[in-house]
Amino acid sequence: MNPDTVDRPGVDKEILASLKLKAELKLLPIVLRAVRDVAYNYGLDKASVRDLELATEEACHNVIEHAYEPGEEGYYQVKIHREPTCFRITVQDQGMPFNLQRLNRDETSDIGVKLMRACTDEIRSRYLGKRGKVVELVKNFSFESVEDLDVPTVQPNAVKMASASEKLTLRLMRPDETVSLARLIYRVYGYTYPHEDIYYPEKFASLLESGLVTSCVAVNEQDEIVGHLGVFLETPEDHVGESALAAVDPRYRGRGLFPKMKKMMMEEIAAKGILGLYSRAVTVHMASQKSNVKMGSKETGFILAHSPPTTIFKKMKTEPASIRRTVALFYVPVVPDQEQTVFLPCKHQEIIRKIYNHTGLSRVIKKADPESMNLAPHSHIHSHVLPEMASAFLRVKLFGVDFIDELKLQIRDLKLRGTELIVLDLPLKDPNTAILFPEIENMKFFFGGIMPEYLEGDSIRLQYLHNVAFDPESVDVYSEFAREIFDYVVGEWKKHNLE
Amino acid sequence: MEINQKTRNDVEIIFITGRLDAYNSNLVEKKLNEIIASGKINIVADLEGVEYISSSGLRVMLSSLKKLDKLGGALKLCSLQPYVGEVFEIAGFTQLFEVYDESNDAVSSFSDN
Repeated sequence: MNPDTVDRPGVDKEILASLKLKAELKLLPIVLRAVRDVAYNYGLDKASVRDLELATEEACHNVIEHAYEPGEEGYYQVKIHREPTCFRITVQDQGMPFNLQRLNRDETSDIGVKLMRACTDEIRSRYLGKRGKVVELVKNFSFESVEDLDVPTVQPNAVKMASASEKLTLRLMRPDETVSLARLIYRVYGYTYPHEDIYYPEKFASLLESGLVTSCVAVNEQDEIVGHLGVFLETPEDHVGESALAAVDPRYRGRGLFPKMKKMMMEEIAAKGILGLYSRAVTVHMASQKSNVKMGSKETGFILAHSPPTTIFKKMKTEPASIRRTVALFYVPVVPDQEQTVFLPCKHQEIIRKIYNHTGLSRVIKKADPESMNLAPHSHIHSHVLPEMASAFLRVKLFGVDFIDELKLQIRDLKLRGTELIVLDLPLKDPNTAILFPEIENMKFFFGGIMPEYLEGDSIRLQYLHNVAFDPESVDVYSEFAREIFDYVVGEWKKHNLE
Repeated sequence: MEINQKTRNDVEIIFITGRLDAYNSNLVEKKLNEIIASGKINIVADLEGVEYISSSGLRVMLSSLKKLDKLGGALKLCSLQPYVGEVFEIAGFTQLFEVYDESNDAVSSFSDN
């Protein structure tokens, strides 16, 4: 990150600047100057600022050249957003509709599109009905890895147990403690922890400040972090968080720190209005699954070939680059569950009913009537792309008449960008999910499980694997019920990928 | 944006300083068109003073290259800043242009042919 960044207390998603300009070339330098200055002053490094500026120029120039007829007076709006881990520029105009799909094609002839794609981590384009069209350009912050910091590390094997009389305190973590946390994670996991954010202390601090991460820590008498449990929200509007980064310093094991931290976190996030916690447990061994079950979490699905080796893994060359690991999905409510109505896709009704029974969640199951399909003029699909994981997470917020086309477009774009895994969450309270489901499955998406309360209510989670080898034998499954779901998911994968 | 011109061994060298963006590129285009119209078909663009280039700048370079190619001449580039070099690379333009480290090398490459 840029070291001269201005102070940003409590940074969340925020619009730092908004400009409305006449679509004329002579005003373009004003936009570029604004992008340059704002992005640099708010933490983006110099090379990334230049990338963002170049992508913005291409998007704006496109509007200036093509959105309005010669002589027609037209305007466009540029907004500069800062989010905890990225900058997002939106360029919106109300001019002539043009084919936004070209942004997603690998056209060698369109130099501007090529540059936009190369200079950003994500590009989205949407029609907004009468409000025109918008192009979104995302540039992620590049954070300094803990590996690059001058952090003394302790070899994981050199363990001497701490004195049993030493007092430990549980409290919420402060953003200035991320290096100390990175050290703990190193002691426990080496560089093998799949959430790469943890190895980038500044990035993790930014997530804590934004409220997207809440962390509970156990500290010893020297105020050193010896235990940690975090809850991550993907967006500030989420009703469920992900329980992650559970770590207890080997010197302080055997004191029941993990259950104590989990209890504290459950109370903490319940007070913030969060309904439950989900987690993704690795399946290269059974310890994480076992620990989830022990803490009262229930299995709700599997994501096959979910995580690639981290880039740090790659640097360390500990594993072949092609291995992606499967995770088991778990859920536990933190407040009493409220009954809700869900519309289930016919094909998967039985397994979903079993998952609901297993989790103890009370649901009224209804059948969707295809005659009553009600689609909005435009779809809203939220995407969260993780280029370093070659993964993308899509959530359907609204089904529109263009849904299938929009989804196809996004898949094509993600595949062109080398995405290997696409996870798609569809709202089960919306009958359109059940009605459109066969068409979505025809696009090679296959069932992965359910995510309670993930989308203003439960979601059905689908997955799409692109050029990824997967071996069911490489997965260790802990419980009998997990085995049943896993076999079901593998069966679906075979149907959609091998037949 | 500043554009200076020199002639060396019958080769026209233009030294460009500033941003080759959508707003400024037409000035460079105008200059290159003037040189070509005057019958000079061997040109070197020295980009040492260019720290930023967008697709508009690239298109100007490409269109001049094509014109000169038809006339039996060439547009060669030299002294690219690393970021500008990267942009040429991304666009696939390093396949189309001869790129040299210094203007002397670019100029003498015309007599080598």
